[in-house]
Amino acid sequence: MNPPPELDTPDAPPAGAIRGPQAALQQLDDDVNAPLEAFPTQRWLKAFGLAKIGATIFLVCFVWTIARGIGTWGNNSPVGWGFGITNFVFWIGIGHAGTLISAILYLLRQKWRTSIARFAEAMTIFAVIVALQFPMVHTGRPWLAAYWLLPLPNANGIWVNFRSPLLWDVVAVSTYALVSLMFWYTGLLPDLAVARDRAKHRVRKLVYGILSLGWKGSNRAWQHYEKAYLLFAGLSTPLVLSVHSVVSFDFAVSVVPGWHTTIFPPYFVAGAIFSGFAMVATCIIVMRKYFKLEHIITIDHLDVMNRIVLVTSLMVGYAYMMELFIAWYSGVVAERFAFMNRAMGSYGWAYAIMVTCNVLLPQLLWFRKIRRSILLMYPIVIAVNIGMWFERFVIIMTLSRDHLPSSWHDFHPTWVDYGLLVGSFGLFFTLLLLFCRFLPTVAVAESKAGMAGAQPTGGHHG
Amino acid sequence: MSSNDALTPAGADAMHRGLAAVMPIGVSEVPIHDDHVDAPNASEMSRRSAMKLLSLTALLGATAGCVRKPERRIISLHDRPEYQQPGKPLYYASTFTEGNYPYGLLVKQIDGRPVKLEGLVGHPLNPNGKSTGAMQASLFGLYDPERLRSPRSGDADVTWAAADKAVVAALKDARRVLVVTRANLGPSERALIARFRKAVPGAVHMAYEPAQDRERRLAWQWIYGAAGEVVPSLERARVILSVDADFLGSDGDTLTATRGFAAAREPGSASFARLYVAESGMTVTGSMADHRVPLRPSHALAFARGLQAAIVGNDTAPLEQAAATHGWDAGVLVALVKDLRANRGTAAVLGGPNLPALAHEAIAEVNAALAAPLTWNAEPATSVAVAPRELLSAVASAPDAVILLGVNPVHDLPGGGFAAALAGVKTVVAHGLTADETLAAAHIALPSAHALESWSDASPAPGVKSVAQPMIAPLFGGRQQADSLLAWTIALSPDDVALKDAKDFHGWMQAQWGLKQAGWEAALRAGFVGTAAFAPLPTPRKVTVRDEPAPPTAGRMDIVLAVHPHTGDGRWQGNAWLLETPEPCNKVVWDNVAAMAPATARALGVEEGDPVEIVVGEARVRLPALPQPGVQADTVVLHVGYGRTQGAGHGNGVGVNVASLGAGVVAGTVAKAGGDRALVAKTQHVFDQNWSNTGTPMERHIAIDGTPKEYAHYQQGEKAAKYSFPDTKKHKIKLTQLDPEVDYSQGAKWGLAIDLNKCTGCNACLLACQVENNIVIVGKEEVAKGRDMSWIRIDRYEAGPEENPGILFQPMLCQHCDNAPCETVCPVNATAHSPEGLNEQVYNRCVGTRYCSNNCPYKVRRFNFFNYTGEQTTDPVQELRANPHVTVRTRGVMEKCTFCIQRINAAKFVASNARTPLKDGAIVTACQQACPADAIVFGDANIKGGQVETARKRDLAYHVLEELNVRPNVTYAARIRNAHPDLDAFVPAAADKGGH
Repeated sequence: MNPPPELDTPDAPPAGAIRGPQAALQQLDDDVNAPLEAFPTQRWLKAFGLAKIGATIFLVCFVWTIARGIGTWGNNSPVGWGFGITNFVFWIGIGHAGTLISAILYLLRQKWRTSIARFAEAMTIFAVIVALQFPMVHTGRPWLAAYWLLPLPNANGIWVNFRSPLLWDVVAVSTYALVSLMFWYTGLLPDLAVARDRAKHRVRKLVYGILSLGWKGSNRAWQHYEKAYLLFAGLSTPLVLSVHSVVSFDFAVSVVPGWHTTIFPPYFVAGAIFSGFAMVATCIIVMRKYFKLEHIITIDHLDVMNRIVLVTSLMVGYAYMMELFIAWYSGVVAERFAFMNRAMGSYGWAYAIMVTCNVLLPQLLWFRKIRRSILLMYPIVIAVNIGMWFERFVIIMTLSRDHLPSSWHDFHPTWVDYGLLVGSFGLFFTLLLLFCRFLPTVAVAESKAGMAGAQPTGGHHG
Repeated sequence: MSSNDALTPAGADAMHRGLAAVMPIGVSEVPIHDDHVDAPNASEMSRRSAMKLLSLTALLGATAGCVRKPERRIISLHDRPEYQQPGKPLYYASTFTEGNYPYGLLVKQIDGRPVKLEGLVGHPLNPNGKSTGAMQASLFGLYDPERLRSPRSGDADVTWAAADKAVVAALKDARRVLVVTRANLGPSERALIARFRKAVPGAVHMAYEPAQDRERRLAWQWIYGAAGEVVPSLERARVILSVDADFLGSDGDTLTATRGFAAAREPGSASFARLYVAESGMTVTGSMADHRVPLRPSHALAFARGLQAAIVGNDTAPLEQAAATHGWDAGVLVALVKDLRANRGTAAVLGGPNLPALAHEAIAEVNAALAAPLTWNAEPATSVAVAPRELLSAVASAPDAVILLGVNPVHDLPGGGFAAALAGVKTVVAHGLTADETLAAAHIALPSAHALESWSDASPAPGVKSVAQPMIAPLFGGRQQADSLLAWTIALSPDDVALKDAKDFHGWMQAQWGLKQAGWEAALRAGFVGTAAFAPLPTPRKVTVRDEPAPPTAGRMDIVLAVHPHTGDGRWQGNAWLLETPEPCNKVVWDNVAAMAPATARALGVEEGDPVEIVVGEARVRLPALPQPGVQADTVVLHVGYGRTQGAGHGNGVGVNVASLGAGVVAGTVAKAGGDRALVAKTQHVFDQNWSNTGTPMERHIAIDGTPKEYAHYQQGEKAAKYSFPDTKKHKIKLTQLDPEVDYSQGAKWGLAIDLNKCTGCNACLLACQVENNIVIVGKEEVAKGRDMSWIRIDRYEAGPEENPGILFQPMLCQHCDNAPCETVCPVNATAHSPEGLNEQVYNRCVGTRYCSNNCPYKVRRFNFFNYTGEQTTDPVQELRANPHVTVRTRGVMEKCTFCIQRINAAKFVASNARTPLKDGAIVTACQQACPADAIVFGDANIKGGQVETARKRDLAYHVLEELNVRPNVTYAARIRNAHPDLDAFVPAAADKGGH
């Protein structure tokens, strides 16, 4: 992808705000910290209330599932996995944009990333937290699954099965969650220190003080910080590719026709970045508006993100076509039917939604006007979110028509299924809103580094 | 450990003593070695009292407080009955008296409770020890918490003494008494009824059956000049024609018929039989047909007459004319006539229960002309039942007392009206297992003992007497009907010495048998005495031809009131196991539906589940429609017995009672009725998707069939153009093995083989597995969601025209793959491979990710979506039903077929203790044991020349989905459709064989 032009410096701040470089830096601090220091607005409270209702629905359905059993869901034989794993893969995918932005784009020196990196990373963390609920609750006996899935020594001498992709999942996702969390937290340190320094209340000072781990901004601290950040970026980069590859193994390693395909790992990674960017855009467009950060997260940033959405949409579209072609080319009856059925069977409507949202609609982003218009791009990124959920749903519904026609059976979700799906968004947004309220949503220190006059002229990593 | 133990002298001795412990009262004549067992206080710790204590403590524990797990005590026996060892099974010979045919029964009893029923090897009726599904499932009734627990008078519980007093008082001055029983009474019971009629001079006995083949029996009586039954010897047949006779499923002695049929179905052998079926509904018999002709019941007479003319009169014109009129496939009929003529002496025609008497006459002529392999049973086990109208008028004539023993005419009298007629009777006494509709309508309701708690006898065949002995003391204080009748007879005729000496029915029966003690014990040990001696079929009498009945009025449909292959005439309506067993052909559970041809459904404008109203005369019923391929147009098939309202437990409110429409085949109208679409729960949804884009089961290498011609081509190594027969010979698929090869050559390697040529889809294996392995039922809604739990299921594939599709049944169970795809994906190692090649499921370790199920190509894994077992156990007595050798599964756990690992281990222990190698055939899985067609073999595949190895070496042998390289250990033998050489192109399934 081509780097967008003229992005070495952020857009000019609003007229009248600039009195010099120092003033601009001060302004940045003020703008980013404003939501932390003001009393929550009505709007925030309303949004939070809504998200809380969603989170409560999630909790109710979660507890109900654990109390009664998976029978409360629509799962059956042959569809052993339903909404649960769909949601899991969907949320894991959402998390990918954050790591991509913070790690890969960092290593590629894409400086435009700084203003959205923090937010995207936070989304990663929350998406992974939401995602992790599902593999837990979808097991028949979660109280045992919670620790039997971990390679812990036990008196029975029974070890986990390292051949199972689900175990790879456990390892990949937990690694991913931990690294993302540490990466995010490391990046937060200087900004937490700023929040601490600005704090007027003692409690506030204490909390941010503890969180900022005594950050002084000394040269030595900065050196360590930069090194750590680089290391984490290096560590996270393979994870961007590995996590969703491993998640795709859940399907690709099986013998289920329609799952057993080698295209899945790259296809899943592209899809994850695709959906991740769409979700980042979905949230950040709202956030920058309400926290008045349009001058920091500019339309140029959104433009670049839309380009990534477009590119990954093309990748995903290619994968859709290629899997159909390979199924036909393989000559395997069951394989051919699985894909025919995917497109035209009882879940053909879901396939139509998927293709429309993931391949057809994003083509509009070829137009610069649409890429740079909030009103026009917003429905597209929302559609991508929907489409990517359906992509996972379509893949999992392949189970309904596998090898033996005698056991073919459709899946019908129950209220608990819908509750967990809707509720997972509630949980996600609850966490996200709390983040917006209590932590700096933009990587201030990093953004400052990209501002005019912040770097020595002719800096060699510019 | 083997079933033969009970037959050896040691086993016999043990049996007596074990029996003494179980039934201290009943077997007091049997010598008992330990005096203390015989001591008066010994019975204090009998099974019965132990049972009482056990349930009492359970009940107390359960009601003591809101504790999650009630406190239970294990009470050890103070005086342990000798030979009864905890956990060690004892086997007793008995007789199945709940069905119409008294098959031999072998009861497995552990710790005093019967846990499994099997067929009795050597019994004249089922000598191979096979059983029907109902036999397997009848255990449910014993532990049914619905059972009536006390005699009742009006609404109040009374003691037996009070109840007896009331009955005797009512009978004493009665001038007219009506005793109604089932038609399957044993000789001793019949003798007792005769004695009762002597004591009560005004007594009339009527044998009542809601759905007996009464008309056919009367027709035979008319044709052959004496009461009796035609018994086919199908093993001798090479051409079989069934005219609406479901002889493999629900009509007559299905075990004998299936055994004979299976013996005649060896592809490639000279005696490979060909089956023609002309039928109205879709039955398992029709599914096995090589050529099937859909036949409207009201055209059956024309069919039979045409056949008669063709075979007896050598004139095919009437048959061809009728074929043209009624749309039968003339090509098939020509081939049929040719076949019948060519196979004189080995061709048989079987007429169904609903045919008119004249059709039976024509068939009798044909059989006589063909010298058909049929024999004659002059002493059928069941008597001819009374006509429903006759029973109704007898009750309506207001006798002083009506005694209803084990019948439920209030619910199931064809034509209905029994309850109203009963209103005029002064005293109504009803005896039954549960408080059903009839008991509810009675003045005095008495709890019966279950068949497994009762003494009884039967005459399964001429020259044979079969004995049924109690296996456990009555659980709920019930008393067997014969004992009640005997008690009343004694009270009414105090001078009858013979009765007095008898004391109870056990004594009466023993006196009737007239055997010395040793002989009686031998009879008990064997389960029967005598050898079957069927007479040759009598020559049919020349009957003057009468006028043919008028053809059905236009605009009417034939309403077939059929006996359900599992729930029967309704007698198993309270049996949740049987209710959840899918009807073999449409796979519907927990329901009776109006099965009709898809074309008929389209004409009516109804789809699956849409209510239709069926009107016959004044009676009208409404039930959900089910378009079913293969059902004859203008015919609607309904199953009788459903729609119970009382006393059926899980069966209450299941289906619709169609008794008001009558019995057999009636003419009526069918119309779409308003109302919501009903849920029709099926265990299989896709039978035939036209297969054009899905790939046929053949192309998918799942279900493989072909004609003899194609088989011959294949055997000669010619490239079969269309059929991909098993590739074992030529086209070995190249498969890459990534994992290191496991050496299974040492020790045992378990394998199973199923012969699709023999499997009739009867579901006996499924029910045997259910009982053996403690498989739960889940109910209609859960089945509809796709959560049925059977470890073995009978897949059914249809292909060809919807009017008359070709059918293939395929039992599907865990294939115990060597490269099991379920094992690699389980994250916690809950499913693993044994060194003997078993795919093992470790319930304790399973966390329920269901990944194994997703990855199972055969979809044979079953998940406990809820705590099914716990939620269904509403009464402690239900826990007694479980097989203690198989773990009961809890919520969130995956389960599947284990190849009956408990049986494997049991046999291994026996062999190991005897220091002998395990013999081939020493292990019999539950499904194999039950299979009436002997289609399943199990054993060590490493044994050279063993059953499994032999089956695997057959050139018909193949593995399902072999190309996945999962290396299944279940081998199937491809089915050969024995199409007539002239009709090779006409295989019903031909339409799908176009290749791709």
